[in-house]
Amino acid sequence: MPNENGLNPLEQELEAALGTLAPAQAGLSRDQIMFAAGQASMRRRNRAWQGVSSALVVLLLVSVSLRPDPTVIEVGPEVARIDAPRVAPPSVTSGDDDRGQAFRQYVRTRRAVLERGFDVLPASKPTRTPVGGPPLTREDLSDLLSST
Amino acid sequence: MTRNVRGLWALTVIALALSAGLARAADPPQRKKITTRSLQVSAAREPRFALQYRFEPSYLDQEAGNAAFLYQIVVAQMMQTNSGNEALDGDTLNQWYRDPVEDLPLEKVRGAITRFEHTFRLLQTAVRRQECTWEYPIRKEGVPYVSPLLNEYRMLTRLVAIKAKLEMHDGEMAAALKTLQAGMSLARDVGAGPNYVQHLVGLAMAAQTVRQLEGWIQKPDAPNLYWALSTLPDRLVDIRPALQTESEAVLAELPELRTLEQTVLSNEQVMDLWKRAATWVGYDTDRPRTALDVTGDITLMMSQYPRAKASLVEHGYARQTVETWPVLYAIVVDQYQQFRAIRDLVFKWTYMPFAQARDGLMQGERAVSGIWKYSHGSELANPFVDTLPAAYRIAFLDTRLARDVAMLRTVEAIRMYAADHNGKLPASLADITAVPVPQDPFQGRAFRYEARGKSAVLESPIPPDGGPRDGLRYEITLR
Repeated sequence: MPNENGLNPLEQELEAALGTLAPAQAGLSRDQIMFAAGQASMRRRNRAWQGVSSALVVLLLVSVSLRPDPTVIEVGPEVARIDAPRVAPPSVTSGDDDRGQAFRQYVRTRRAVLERGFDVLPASKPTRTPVGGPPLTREDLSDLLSST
Repeated sequence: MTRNVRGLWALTVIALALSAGLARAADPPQRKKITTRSLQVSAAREPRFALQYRFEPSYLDQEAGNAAFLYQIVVAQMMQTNSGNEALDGDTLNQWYRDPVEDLPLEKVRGAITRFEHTFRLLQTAVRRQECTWEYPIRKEGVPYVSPLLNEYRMLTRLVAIKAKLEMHDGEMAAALKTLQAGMSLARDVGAGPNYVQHLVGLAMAAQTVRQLEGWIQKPDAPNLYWALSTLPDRLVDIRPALQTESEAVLAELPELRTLEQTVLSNEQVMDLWKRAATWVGYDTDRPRTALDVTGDITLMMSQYPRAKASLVEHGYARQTVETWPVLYAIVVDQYQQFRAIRDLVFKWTYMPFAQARDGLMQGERAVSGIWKYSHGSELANPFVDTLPAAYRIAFLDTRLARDVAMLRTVEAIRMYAADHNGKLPASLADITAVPVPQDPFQGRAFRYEARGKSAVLESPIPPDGGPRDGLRYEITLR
């Protein structure tokens, strides 16, 4: 039969059971919650700064350790010249191309010697076999003359 | 972390990174290291007969004939000898040339040098010839190929230098002087050849021979060579034959240039002339020409013609006369005159002492590159200017050899002073009054000298446009 509050017996029993419980103190205040939320968001930004700073430190250490040795600066004498532009006349037959090529070769060789040294000059290599065979002896010469 | 601390941390890191980078950039370049050699010398007066020691054969020992021909035979003999299983390779020879005599495998070196005795005897005969004329037919055939034997002459010089080194080591000073005399004569004769390449080879040969004198002056009882060195010409290797040929090489290759200003050429003749000149600069005259090539040529001709005409009028030609000329003829005359002006600007300074000529030589280099700037990209460029040599560099190398000789003369003057002043070094070069002390030909003034007790430093600083090899310092110790 419902009581004066309109609760049935089952509900009355539940009310009585709930009445034996005492409310506990709250562990967090609103202010604390709001602060923690803000703090969490700043932690993420902080990590990004720390990451950048750490990367810069690593870069600094690597660059210092890999610094190249100072180099001796050798200044060669100036040769103020650029590549020759080309002359493009129409093709007309003319003679003596070989001579022109020889002069061109000379001009190039001269420039190469000044820029790269004498190794650009042709050199004969020592032959491991005697040049021209064994030298002529008097007997050889005598045989040669008597055979003609 | 608070915002302030975080910001400070970031700023610190950035500052450190920047400062490290700036520190790197600000690392001072190392001073150029000047070539430095130590000389331990003894005092030595000039010889009783001042000209007892010479680097040229005595007049009475000379014979009629042309040394150039014999030099070819000497080289052939050398090559014949340097064949077979005992042939010396270039690396070995270079090493024996460069290493101090104390570091050489003496018996092995002696054995190798002895094989070339016949070569050395022939060389002694060659250097006694009264003249050396290379007889290249340049006037008729143009500038020749470079002699294929130039590297062999260099090898011969190394053999001579090693022979002299051994002789000095063994105390055979008279023999060493005779060997060095031959080496010097050979170098001067080769270097007086009619082109710059041969001249440069002669310079290098002379420098290698002169270098051996450092061994001579360090021998305890070495005769003083001041006057022997002083009787050599300032320009040890004569550049005049090469200068003459190089300055007229273009005319030898294109004889019509000699009368260009007197004989009007047709456009076709000018084209032919340009085509032959084009081979000097590597242009492929056989390449098929496209319509674009022809259009480009015509456009450039049209732009060059007014410039050429104005220049010719400015330099004295009557406008009416120039306007009657074929277009290409006017252009090529202007080109040729430009070339002549620049050529003479370049070459004239080569006759002057380097210290006075430096700025003029650089002016010549700039004028040449100015022409390139003007013509760059143009297919109607001035082909004659390309034949001009790097006169500045050649004059520089000439001067470097003269400097080496002058330094040795100065050391001999110091030895002479020490002999006359109880074994003391001069406090300054000005204290030496018995003989003239040469100047540094690079600087046009005295060498740097600093005495410290029994030792002194004599130095020719690295020239502004040179490298470590171009400066020279002797650290002299008096026994």
